[in-house]
Amino acid sequence: MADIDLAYYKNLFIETSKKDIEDTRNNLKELSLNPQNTELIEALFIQFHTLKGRSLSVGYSQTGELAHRIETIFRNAKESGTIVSQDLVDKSLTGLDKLQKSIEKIASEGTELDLSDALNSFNKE
Amino acid sequence: MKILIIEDDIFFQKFYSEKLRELNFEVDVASDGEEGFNKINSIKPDLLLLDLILPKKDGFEILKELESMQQKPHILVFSTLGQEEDVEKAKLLGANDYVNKSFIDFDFLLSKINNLLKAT
Repeated sequence: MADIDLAYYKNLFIETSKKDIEDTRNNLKELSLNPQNTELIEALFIQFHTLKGRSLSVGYSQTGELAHRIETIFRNAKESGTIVSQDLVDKSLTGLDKLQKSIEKIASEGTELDLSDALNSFNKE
Repeated sequence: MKILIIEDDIFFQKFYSEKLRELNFEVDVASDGEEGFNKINSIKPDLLLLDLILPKKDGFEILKELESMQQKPHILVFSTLGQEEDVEKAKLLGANDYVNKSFIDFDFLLSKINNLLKAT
């Protein structure tokens, strides 16, 4: 890919991810208030799935893997028809903060954050 | 050749549509499953690039609805990490092939598109 393409798509990656992280945070907060809301669980599953695919596609493997592990919480809830506990919502918010910091580091330094600790706090599937 | 991209992530939408337009494909995009299904019926694409996880109507529902269509488009589904079972399910529902979008490789995608269109 030409350099001009790389700069354009890197910027597009950062801008779309920043917006999605804000939308996702709002949905997580809303889910805390309405844990039975299956539409929110579906929306959160899609949002973390999107963050995963997009991050992996441009080579940010830890960012993508962390999004994948959080996505799995919502995939499981969606498929089993169960609610997501407040503990897991809080954990997802903490994970989302890490994703945000990683995107900010990519924007400023071009490399993702070391997310080993955050990854260890989520189950691998 | 008309290609319809049904993909909710604007990042992938822009990447694939711009690259394909540079090669003179006629490209349209849809951001959710309902819009996508409506566009399949209205523009009758030769090929569909279909994400499986979509708002409103997911890729599996679209594949099921296409099963009864007489002249359906070639279908290439997008997958990513953790979707191995989804890909198998999509193939059973009529998807011709898949690409893993965890690794953006436009040339690889293009080779798959050309292979499918050659079979027309």
